[in-house]
Amino acid sequence: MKVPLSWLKEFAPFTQDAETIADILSDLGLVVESVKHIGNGLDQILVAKVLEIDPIPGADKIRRVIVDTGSGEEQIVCGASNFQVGDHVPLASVGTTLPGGMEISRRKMRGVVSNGMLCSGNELGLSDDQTGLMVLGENVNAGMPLTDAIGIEPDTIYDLSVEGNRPDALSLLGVARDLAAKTNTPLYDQWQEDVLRQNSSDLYNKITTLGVNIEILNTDLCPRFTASVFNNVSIGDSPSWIAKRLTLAGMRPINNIVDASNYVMLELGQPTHPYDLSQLAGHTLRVRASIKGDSLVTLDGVNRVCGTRSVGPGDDMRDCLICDGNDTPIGIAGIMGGQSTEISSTTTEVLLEAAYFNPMSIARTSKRLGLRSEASLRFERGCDPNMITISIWRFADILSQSAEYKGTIDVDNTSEKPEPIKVNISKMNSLLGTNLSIEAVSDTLNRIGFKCRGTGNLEVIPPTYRPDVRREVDVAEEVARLVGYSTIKPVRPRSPKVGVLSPYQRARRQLREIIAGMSADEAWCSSLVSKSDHATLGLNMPAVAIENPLSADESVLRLSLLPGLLKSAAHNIDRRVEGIRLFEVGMIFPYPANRDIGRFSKQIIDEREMIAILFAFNDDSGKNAMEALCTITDFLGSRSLIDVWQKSYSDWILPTTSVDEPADDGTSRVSSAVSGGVTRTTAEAEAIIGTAAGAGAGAGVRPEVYSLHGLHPSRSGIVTIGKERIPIGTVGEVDPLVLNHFGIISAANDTRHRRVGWLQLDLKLLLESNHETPIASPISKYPSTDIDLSFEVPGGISSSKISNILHQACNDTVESIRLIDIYRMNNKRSLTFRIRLSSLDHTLDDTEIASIRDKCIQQVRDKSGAVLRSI
Amino acid sequence: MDYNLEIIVQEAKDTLSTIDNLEELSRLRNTLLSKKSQLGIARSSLATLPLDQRKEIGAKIELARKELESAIAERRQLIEVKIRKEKLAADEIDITEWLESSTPARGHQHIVQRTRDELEDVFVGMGFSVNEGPEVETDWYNFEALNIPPAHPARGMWDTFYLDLGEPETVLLRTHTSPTQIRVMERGELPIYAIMPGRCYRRDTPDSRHLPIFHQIEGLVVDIGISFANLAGTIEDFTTAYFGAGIHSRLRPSYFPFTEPSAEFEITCTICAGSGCRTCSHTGWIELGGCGMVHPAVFEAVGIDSERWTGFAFGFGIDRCAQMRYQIPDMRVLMENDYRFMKQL
Repeated sequence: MKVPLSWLKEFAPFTQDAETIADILSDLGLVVESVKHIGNGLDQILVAKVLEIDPIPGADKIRRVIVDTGSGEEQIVCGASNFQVGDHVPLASVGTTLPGGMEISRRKMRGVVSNGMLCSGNELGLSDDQTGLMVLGENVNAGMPLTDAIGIEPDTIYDLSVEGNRPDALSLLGVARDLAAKTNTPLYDQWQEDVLRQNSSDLYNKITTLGVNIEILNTDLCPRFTASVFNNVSIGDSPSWIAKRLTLAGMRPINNIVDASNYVMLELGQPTHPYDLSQLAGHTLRVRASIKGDSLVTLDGVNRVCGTRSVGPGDDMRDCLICDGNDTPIGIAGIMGGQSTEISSTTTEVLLEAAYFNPMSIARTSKRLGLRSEASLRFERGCDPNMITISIWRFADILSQSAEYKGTIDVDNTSEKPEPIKVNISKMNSLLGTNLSIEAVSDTLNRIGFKCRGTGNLEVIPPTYRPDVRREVDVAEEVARLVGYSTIKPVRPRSPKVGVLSPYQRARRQLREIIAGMSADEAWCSSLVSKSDHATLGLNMPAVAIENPLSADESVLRLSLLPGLLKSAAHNIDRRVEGIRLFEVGMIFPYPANRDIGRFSKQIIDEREMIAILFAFNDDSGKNAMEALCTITDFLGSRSLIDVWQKSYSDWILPTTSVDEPADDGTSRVSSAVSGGVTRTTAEAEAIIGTAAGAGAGAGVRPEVYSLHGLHPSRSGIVTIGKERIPIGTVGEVDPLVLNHFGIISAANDTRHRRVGWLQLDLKLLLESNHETPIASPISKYPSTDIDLSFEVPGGISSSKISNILHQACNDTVESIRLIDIYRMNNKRSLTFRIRLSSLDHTLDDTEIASIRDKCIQQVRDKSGAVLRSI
Repeated sequence: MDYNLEIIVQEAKDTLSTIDNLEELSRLRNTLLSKKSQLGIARSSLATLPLDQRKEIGAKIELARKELESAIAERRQLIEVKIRKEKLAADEIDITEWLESSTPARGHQHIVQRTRDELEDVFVGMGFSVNEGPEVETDWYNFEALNIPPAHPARGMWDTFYLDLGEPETVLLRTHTSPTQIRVMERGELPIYAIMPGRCYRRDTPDSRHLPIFHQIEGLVVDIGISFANLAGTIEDFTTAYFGAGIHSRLRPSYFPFTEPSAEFEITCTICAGSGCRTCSHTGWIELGGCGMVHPAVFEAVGIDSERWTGFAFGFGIDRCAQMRYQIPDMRVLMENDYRFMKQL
């Protein structure tokens, strides 16, 4: 709300300077968003009289003007065209600086010298009008200072951001009242509440017949409605002081009736609405709830239809409407009037509506119709029902020269009397951390119109203009606000608890550091993606859709971190960053299998926190993803916990990670996946690993059949954890087709220029599987021996499977098994493993080593069909 | 026999001083110490001397031999040092001239995540636990339990993304981390000293200071005798601990449906340290977040006795914090994951 300081001073003799007042207002919670000084720098602007206007040859937008400056004639070149010979206009002569900082110099345009500038209101910082010169009225002379000519004084305009709980502060009176209370400046007598009441009751003429019918059909929507009739109305411009104040407060003057209504609203906070009585069918106003399909054209020329948009579940869709005698809607109560009964230049009889509407009803209607106004802003916060008669008086008072007040019909169903609030002073002090006396509290409250009773504890009755104050804590806030938050001495509470991160939170941080150590930068991608992002990755299961997305690009909740990271990688590659590794920790949102959602649901969607790494440096591949997985496994200290199921054979060299032989029972890894006693549904597992829908259904499904959508069909695998082999993620390379789609490579089958490695893991399953402290195993004191074995491996047998078999065969003598060489020729693949053997209690002799070697060869042959390569 | 041993040694030393490689040195050594050398001849002729002289001259010869040996060793060392020097000199490189690897040694954690970690650390140090809650919430947790009934005008403060799950229940993306406060209070484990960091969503068009997806951290304390002064103390301690000495906080009245009294908290402008600049509109202060005493209606919604327990809550944007601290002009860069930006921080 725009508050001119000059207007505030109408209410009380505030003596503080403009900056101090701004500070005090902010301290009161009436936050000053901006302070604008106007009328400064106008001292050098003079009034000039237009003597002559001549065209300039060859120019159609500028003209040569000769003006009388009071001390001679000057030639000015001017681009405006809204003035005539004889008009008085503001002149900034050469050497003057305008309020905006523009300095006027002698200029030559089209060969004509201009000795100054004729100004618009906008150029002088006096109005927003920049359509032409500011043409001045009659009683001015050339050479007069402009400030004298228009009676303007330097002023300060505060733009206040008034919080939603303060309807009273949406009026000059309310702001002045707070400021007066805080600065201990009494309001002038005429603004004291009892004087206002007295004045209005002196005028108020409550009658039942005015030749006008008022019908309130729904008193819950409209507890009080008054209609006042004014005769012998002469429509015209408002007096200049009204027009000036409205302009300063940011409203456009229209005519004396509308201006008076707006003025009263700004001054007192009570919106009113004037109708042209002659246009009102049946001279009847009927206030009722809307019926679906009711419509009218509002003052802004828009056709509004009721009942089309709900504000949420359980919405009764009742808009409060003002209708005429034909039951035709002519206004949306408390928000905006209709065009049909608008005040016009021919209006002679005015009906003024001043009412109290149910705040929630106004708020809902405003939201349903997407329509806000100065009136709705006030009504939805709760106007003061007792301000109605005062505002009628004020309206009549302002128009006393141009309208005759006849009387008011008042339908009043308000019953609510403010309940006294019991305030326990010691409790209040302990809530605030203050030590205020009861006298100090009641004095403070009295100053903002609260009535206090009692000596031990207080009974407080808030004024009707403070509907927000209902409870003891509300009173406490008022006291704190006026005493000043800054006077309350800060005291830090001592937490009786030990502050500590959970093991999960700590491990998550460590993991992020470890991954950053792999040259990966941490990304933050949108949780909202497009349907086509998912489709491109082949994630065809349903995703949770946003009902009201900002754009189709961000219309569903993501099922994988892959699209976001791919987009980010593409963004970088586009900008000639040669390659990048990115990782992200973030939620994915599987579509809930169980949609029995209640308002108190512990969990609506089984949100999964994932950690994902995208390897997109020039020489990266799925190998990097495997290495990362091994590093993570090593960090977890969970030997034997993580297993990778290949869809096909791999080229990846496995660093030392021992993996148990899988149970190899061929059961479905998805439908039997169990985590923390909760059976994971196929849909959730699918979202994590990206399997084809249905692939996990039913027993007998082998891991190899998983189709890892979005990943390279022959260079990817799923990661499982624990004995139950719960799928927790995917590892491999991104499908070149997908890379091409996201603009990372230029051809769909181009694997030569860039491969992109991918690892995504369910962080919770990963970390919670292993939060026990690892037990240290003894290490051998005796020398170790290496044996290298090269196998010819048939298709479909993975390196990790051979590695598992070797582990089993070597039993407890194995120190490490590393794949050290891969050799491929004519569809045959040969893998060389280096097995390092040692014993805890002796040095292995040649016989023992030979026997382990034989066992390895035999078991690998028996379990996988791979045979020792003959060299 | 009158060998002038001194001259022999002196001549040998003179020759030695001209030698500058190891091969020559070892040849010379052979020459000087062989049986055919002057010393060798002298030694072999000892047998011809009378017994009394034999001992004396023998000792002199031995002394001369030792002197020669040590002169040779000295020379050897000199040559070796010289050779080492030459070798290493030939090995010279410009240590500042190295080919930068296209693979950087380390990656960077996201500045928002790191800011969140640092904020968590400050509060953990103050005895708070770190709580996380779902991003998808019901209307109850996000609004109603926080004393914001449907269509309450205050809902306009939070433009909300609603989710389509084909259910009568209103499901949405949380607009703040406050629902986690409700969930923490619902557990009923009192007292509570907790912070709630996390990702939030508001249906705002992105601009330089707002993103539709952003991160917030909220704090909640519920205990016996907790006061507004405690709130002010916690905010002040946190401000100084996180932003550094010289940065302070102040509270100004505000309105939130879930707190009463409510306040906005401002901190000393981190750009100008309070002296006034464009960033703080020349006030010396910048707004950081909102706070207040937990509204009794909120306690009632979660079943905490508001006559016995009082509490405060506060919240602010992690992204905003990072933006202020690292003077990031436009927040939208945070979501672009542009390497040229990330590598700076």
